[in-house]
Amino acid sequence: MSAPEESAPTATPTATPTASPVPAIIGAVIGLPMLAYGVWGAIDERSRTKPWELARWVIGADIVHDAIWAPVIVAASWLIGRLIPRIAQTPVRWASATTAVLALIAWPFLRGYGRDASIPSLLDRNYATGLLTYIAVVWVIALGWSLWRVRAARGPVAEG
Amino acid sequence: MDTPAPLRWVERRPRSALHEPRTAALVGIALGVAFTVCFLTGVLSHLIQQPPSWFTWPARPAGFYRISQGLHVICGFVSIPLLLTKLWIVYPKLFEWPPVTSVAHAFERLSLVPLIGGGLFMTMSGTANVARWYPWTFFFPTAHYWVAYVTFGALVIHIGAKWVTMRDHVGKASPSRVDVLVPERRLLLGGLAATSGLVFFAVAGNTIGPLSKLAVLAQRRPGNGPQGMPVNKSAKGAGVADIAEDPSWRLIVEGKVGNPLELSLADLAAMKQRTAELPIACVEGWSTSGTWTGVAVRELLALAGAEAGDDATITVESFQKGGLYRKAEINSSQAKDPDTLLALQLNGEPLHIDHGFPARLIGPNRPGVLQTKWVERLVVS
Repeated sequence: MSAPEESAPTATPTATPTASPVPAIIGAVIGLPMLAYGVWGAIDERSRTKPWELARWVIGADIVHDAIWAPVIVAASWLIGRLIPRIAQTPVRWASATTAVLALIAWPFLRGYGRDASIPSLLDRNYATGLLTYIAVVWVIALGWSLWRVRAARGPVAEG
Repeated sequence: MDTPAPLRWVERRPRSALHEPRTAALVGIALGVAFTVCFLTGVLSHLIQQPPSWFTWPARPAGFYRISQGLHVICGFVSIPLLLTKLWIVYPKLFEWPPVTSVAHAFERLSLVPLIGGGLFMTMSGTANVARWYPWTFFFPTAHYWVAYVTFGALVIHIGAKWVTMRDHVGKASPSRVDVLVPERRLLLGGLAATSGLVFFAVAGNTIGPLSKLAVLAQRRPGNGPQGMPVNKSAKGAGVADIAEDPSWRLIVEGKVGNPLELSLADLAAMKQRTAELPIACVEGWSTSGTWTGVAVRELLALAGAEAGDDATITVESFQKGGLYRKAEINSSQAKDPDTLLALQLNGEPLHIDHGFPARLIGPNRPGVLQTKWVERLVVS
């Protein structure tokens, strides 16, 4: 029995031995036409989609995430590592991230950009109170979790 | 090529051990499921609103659209913490050196631009739309629709490219199921589930009535609005207030009919009335049920002697002058349904002007934007 594959052991140094290109090819064969269809549609209906402006929003979202949002999260996490006692770091990181996500989603509601005097039933809640309530719950959970961790660490079984 | 100094500095920073494939794959699977639900329900909503010739949307089950569109909006919101966590996990890969190792690798990395940009755009623009905030000049539904294909196409490419990695790290035989990171990873996934759950409760009450009190970020409060039901457009906003209250208003039924009709409000009120409990289900996710009373559209068609009989389709026109939704189609299966009404009353009272006085269309399983208000004409074809 011949084993031709074994005769060229250094052919693809970056690939793992089990890596098959088939799933990637299938993904590209299905995904690329879908992607192209979306681009075509956006250009075809350009009077409504304003393709250049739309592209700026899509690529801009990428850039804002990579250049602003993610570094801020990394920096905040680093600060938590410096300022908060080790035992409470995980709860504080969770509560901070959750606060950030809730505030991000709440932003346009808080600002009330969409309010319309002729439709009083639209955006009819007190969004600031609601958001603050959720954030308060998150930090109460983080506090309780931290205290629980302190207690667990002091307990005799936590010696591990 | 040597790694440039700034990237070496980045590489040396201490970082969480969870920037690794198994965590990325698990969060990625959850995100993939959420995006798939959003994509399918979104395409469905588009097909219902702009039906191609091969697509006939049935009138039953009556509440299906409120569920599918509620799911669309809820899944979109819940995918925000999933997406941001997924991006945090893989963020260090942005600084990979060399940036590209092969043509396939270049293609895969390039496909991340529409995937990440598209994913962020879809979730953020959807959120802005629910909050009725349009800080751009393009038309939201059209832009959101086409970017969905771009994003989902890029997602399919990404799943293909990562399939082997995913299988190696998530599959039953994967050694990383029991690696040293298990406790830390569980904390992250548990925390993410909790955050996603909070986002769910903050928005889901828009669709799921009993959760309304918890829904601090909902666009609407059920029961708030004229006659206890929210509206999306007021008579004043649509510029129809004067015409609506003009007693010379007549409903016209014309087109392919043997006996064109011109009916006053009193004529319509004298016809056989039917009452149905039907929801208004907005594309923006909120929905509330009302009790509507009026004349079944099929009764009007029979009275007018519609030539196509049961197979007639109808264009409903509003006397609202402009607006993308001043006209809507009723397909033959909806026209046949006894609960597809030209409603004159809501909850036992004459329609409030903001609900479409003197008469509005209300039918089962239709998006809110297709429940035409201030109707003046039914054109049969």
